[in-house]
Amino acid sequence: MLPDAIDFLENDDREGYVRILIAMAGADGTLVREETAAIEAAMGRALIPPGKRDMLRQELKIKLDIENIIEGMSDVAIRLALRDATIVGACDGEFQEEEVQFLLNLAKYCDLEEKDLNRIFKWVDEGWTWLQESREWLNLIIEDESEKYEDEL
Amino acid sequence: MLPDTLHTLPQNERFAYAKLLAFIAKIDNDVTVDEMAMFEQRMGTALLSPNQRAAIRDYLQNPPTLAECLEDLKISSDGKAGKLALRDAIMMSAADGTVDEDEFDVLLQIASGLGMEDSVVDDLLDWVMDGYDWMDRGIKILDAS
Repeated sequence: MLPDAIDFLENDDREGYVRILIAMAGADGTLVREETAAIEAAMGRALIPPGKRDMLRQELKIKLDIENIIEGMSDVAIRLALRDATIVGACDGEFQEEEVQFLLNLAKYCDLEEKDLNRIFKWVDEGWTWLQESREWLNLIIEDESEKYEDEL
Repeated sequence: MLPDTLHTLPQNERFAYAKLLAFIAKIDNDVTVDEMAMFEQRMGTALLSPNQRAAIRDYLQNPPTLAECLEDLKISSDGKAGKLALRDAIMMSAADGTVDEDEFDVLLQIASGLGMEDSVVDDLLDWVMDGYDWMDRGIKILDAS
């Protein structure tokens, strides 16, 4: 949403980054509208060309092998994907066990540990609060929204 | 990328929302990479159809007027589309690191045209700066090990 290190990634890394998010969205076997919106946002943010987006959308229908995706990806790209995969995982309000395992596995590929992942979880939670503040400024708070996220995250 | 309420709006309101962002992107006749990335991201978050996105991208070549954008946003009976459009217009204006005087004046016109107080623009600019800090903390976490 805001200026980000994604701008400095090579094209192959950007595609790998999106594929990791797609794999994360499918990790628990379900795809909710919020996850789709997050992936579409990520493809837009990474300035993936429209034709390539069509191709990547097809991958939402298949199970992706994470080892194949990360092969050749830079450490920076994998770390950014780990960060944003955590956002994708939080989209439906709670992390499923399969999603947590996916993130722990991904963290190992970029030499991050469980404690680092816990910091990312906390950071995502802070982002959620930040976004919610904007809705408060604009009187757009959905009924019971804050309670819902406090309960589920 | 954070989950937002934007995708819950009716499709015509999401289109009106994105049209205003196209107007803002072209306000100084030059769309930077930062602005384009944010513009594309918000269109993705809005879950616009590929055809709608193409129509919105055309507005970057032939920008709509502000009056036209504000009129379109008035189709929203509860005003949500306009409020989210103002918020994200502010975020886009700040995407290149600064909000110049002309951009600020237009943001005030949008707030006024949507029936909001001028102070909302200042509040949301502060909120955007908080967002920069949050993003920065995220990068620091990734750099930690």
